[in-house]
Amino acid sequence: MKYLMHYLQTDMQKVILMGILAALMIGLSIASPNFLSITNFTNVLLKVAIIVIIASAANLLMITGNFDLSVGAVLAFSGILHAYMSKHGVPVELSILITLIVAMAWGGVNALTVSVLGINPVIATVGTLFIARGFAFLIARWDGGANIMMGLPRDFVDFGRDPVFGLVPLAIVVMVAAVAIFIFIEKRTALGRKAYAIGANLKSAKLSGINTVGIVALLYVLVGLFAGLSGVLQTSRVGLASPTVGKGLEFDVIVAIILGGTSMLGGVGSTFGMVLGALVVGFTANGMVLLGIPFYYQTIAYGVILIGTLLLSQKFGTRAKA
Amino acid sequence: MKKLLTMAVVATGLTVAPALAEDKIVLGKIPYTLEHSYHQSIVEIFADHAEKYYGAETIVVDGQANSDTTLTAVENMISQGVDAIALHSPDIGMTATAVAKAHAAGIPITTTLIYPESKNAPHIAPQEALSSHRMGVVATEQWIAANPDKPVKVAILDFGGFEQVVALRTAPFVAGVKSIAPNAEVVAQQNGFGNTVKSMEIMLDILQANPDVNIIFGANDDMALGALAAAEQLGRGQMDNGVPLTEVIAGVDGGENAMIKIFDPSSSFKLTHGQVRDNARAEVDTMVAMVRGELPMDSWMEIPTLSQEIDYWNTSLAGAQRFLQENFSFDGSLEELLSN
Repeated sequence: MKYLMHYLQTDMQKVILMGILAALMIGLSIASPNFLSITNFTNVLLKVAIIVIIASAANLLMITGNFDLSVGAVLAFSGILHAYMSKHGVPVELSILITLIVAMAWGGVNALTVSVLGINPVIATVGTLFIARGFAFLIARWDGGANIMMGLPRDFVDFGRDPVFGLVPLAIVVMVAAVAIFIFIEKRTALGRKAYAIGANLKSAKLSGINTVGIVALLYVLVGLFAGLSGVLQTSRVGLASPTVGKGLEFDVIVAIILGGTSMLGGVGSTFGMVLGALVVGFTANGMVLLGIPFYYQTIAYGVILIGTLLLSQKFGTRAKA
Repeated sequence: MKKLLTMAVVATGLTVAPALAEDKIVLGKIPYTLEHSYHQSIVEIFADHAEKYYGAETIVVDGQANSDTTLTAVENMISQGVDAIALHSPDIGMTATAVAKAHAAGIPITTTLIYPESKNAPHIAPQEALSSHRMGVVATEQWIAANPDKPVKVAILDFGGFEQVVALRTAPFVAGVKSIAPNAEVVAQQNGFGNTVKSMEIMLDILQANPDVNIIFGANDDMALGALAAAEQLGRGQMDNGVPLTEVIAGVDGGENAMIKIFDPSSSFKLTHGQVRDNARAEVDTMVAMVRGELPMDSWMEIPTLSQEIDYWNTSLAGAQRFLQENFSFDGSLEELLSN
């Protein structure tokens, strides 16, 4: 019964999000003649791609009742490291491989501190955030400036800009792949089932013989990997690596996850819901710029949408419980 | 070693007080944010000039583009007992508070770009408005000469509401545009957060809503580079050997990344302006003059510096190379970088 209620709550959240998304699309199609176009939808998908790629892994982590605030800093560090190596003679493919391994190592640090040593995830991952961001600045300084742009090889930028099969930007392909992988993990694998079990009741999960430390540690490493991959993609696409990118990204990721119905306490949530949450945020931002709404109002609108959506879902969730 | 120590303090943001030499002038420098190459360069030139000409020591604390952090930095400098403070702060109200606190402690303070609303301290005033206006004029002339049948539509990326960014950069730029094309229209003005990635994302939306935008102004080079990346993603961002095809983009600061694009004949980022060296030197000279009693510390005085305008059409490559060497300690060859 408890799982049924959880299921209804999550599903209701998705229905609400789909309704909001549909309302947004209809409203923006009427209000802006430039909204309904392939170019605009590509822009929105590119904008949410980085959030969705990271959130795919971070969502399953949050389902276990944990979260990672270092993703923006790991993204910035990875972008800078990749650019630095590529600029200084490391072949782009090898540079990407090394960057992803190092990004997983950042995830490993979080795994060690949170999962093994039992430090509170807020404290532990904020610590990683500062260290990774600091190293990103240092690497930029070693290169001699505030960021790395000059001297990057042509194939560095091509990697992020050339569409796959001449049609779809790589970031969107990776986003779809990440979502598909995590929906599969969530629905069809022992890892997914164990993640829900850990989030629903940690003690029961341990007593059931689930390697809770190992599962949470693995998810932290996966979040690091996806943050690193996002850093490589973003840096290549923009053609510039800056240690300042990704500031606040951790909140964008958490907002998408929570909007999608994942509980911060764990045990409830879905990848599909997170994607809907990210799309609501992405289309809202897109629509406000298309309509020429000044920045100040945009900031207020984000807060209103976040709280409004959560209130709606809470209301319907309570009804479902009754 | 001294530079290394300075950078260590800078990188960590710590406010560790070094032993202040009694016979040496100690200058406190609070840059707006050390995340930008402009402010990194100004700190280096400041420290070099202070040591070379006055034998003075420099302590740097990053303002982190935040009013609270900047005011705390000022308070730290006061408690350390520095001989004078140079402040580039985010807002005029906080600057007035900082100036009052420094004066109450008997410490001379000078401000740069953002002046205190109380106007009671010497102020380094880069003449940015002139150069911003000039960029608006040149960008519009070039666009109209190449595309006389396409009305001028302007998009602006700013920092989201700094009064003096409006006064020194965006408003004069638009005035420059309108002096050539009185019917020019500003169709979009959004916050680019001073950041390339954010600016790219926002400019993609702006160009989607207003595909006829043909003049873009980023209130710093990072935002202009983001606008260029957005334009390139949409198949724009191009010029035919310096002749505008899709749009003309202008920025502010004049760093290496911007200069490479400006002197690339096929890129649509074509104008910038900036001044690092003279601002840093003016700060140091003014501070030492106040310490020595040659200038009153509590009187308003503007010390103007030229913010040099640089554009593809009117600035030589040698001139741009010299600008980078003087202002950004650039030791490479712009020509070589462009040929790669």
